[in-house]
Amino acid sequence: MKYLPLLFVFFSQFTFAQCIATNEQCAPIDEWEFSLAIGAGMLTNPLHGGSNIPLVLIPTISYYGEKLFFENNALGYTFHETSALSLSAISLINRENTFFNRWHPSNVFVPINASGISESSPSFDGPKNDDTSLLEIDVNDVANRKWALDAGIQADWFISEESRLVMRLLHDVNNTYNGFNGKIEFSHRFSGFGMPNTKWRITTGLNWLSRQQVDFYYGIGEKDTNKPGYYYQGKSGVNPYIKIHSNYKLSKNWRLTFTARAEFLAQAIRNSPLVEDKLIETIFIGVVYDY
Amino acid sequence: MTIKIFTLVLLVVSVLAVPKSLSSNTPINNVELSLTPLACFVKKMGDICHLTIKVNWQSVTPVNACLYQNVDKVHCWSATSKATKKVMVSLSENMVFSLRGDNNEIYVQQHVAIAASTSKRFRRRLRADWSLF
Repeated sequence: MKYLPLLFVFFSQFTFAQCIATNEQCAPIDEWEFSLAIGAGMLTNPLHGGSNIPLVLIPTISYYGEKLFFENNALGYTFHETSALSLSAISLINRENTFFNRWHPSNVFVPINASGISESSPSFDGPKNDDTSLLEIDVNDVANRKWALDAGIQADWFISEESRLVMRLLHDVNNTYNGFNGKIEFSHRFSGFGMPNTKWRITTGLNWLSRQQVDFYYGIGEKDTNKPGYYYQGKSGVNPYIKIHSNYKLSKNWRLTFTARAEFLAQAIRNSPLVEDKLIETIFIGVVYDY
Repeated sequence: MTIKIFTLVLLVVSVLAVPKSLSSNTPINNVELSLTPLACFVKKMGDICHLTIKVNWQSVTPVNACLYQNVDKVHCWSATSKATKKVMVSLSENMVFSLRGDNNEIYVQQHVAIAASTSKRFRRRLRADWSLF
């Protein structure tokens, strides 16, 4: 790990073509860009009682200055940039609380059960051992979790024109879970499958969540229930994920888009009584208009 | 104290000497090269620029020399001390013209730059997708 900076310096000596036009890889400096995707899709919610999140309209907004950039829910400042390496300070909203909000319209109108706590074995009042994996707690019956704002460092290593490696290390800055999270991600862009005007991008990576973050969102304590048998203390974990994304250009402003993503939850998260599914899945297909 | 003075002298000498030794335009064998024009303007970056470049070179002593456009050989002269050549080029990015000797050693080189008349510039996207994705 200590040789990582040296690797960056070594590979930053290789140069690739500079950005000379607007495309998926390059953004015009000092211009706002806006696009809107309309289609059908879903982000699954892995929590007991959690509603899947419908994806219908997805706006994308970005601004790139010489150093400063803003893209969707991220704000960053690039303090080192070569054709092969970019180092940025970055701040963005943490995803985890997404699953604790009631997104589905029916949740607004349908009353929630008085007690969402259930047991797969109904004959006992509480767990008889430390195995909390058989217990279930509905997300609607635990205390609210706060949104976290994270900030940290991101390194983008442009291995080639088509491939890149992203490494990110963040810490919450609004005193929420008081811990770190990070990711390492490799993506590769290609044309293929005999489809003209189509670009594909396959991405794979690891999301690392610190003990503090897992415990804050997936831990169960006094604030959630008065049954100590359901208490759960989170540990750090790693979620591997894979994603495929494609764009088919229809005209200058219109394109078809498709995204499918699967994230495998770490054991430390799956063991929480709140968690029902091992996977978080995202799928979206639609058309995009680039303004 | 002696070591500090030595280090300081070494630093000064290095600062003065290194830029000269690294300069790509430093003529070997006193060969001088001039290109006209040195830049080509296009409407926007990515457009192809077509132009004729006038190449002039001269040497104190007659030399065998070949003109290269990036890695491509354009023309060669033998035992010549002065020459002119017009070269038609199409470029989409900066180009290097070099005059090289028999052993491919670079006597001298010059860049022809391409620039956009519009001021639009670009940078790498860092692709911060929505946290949901």
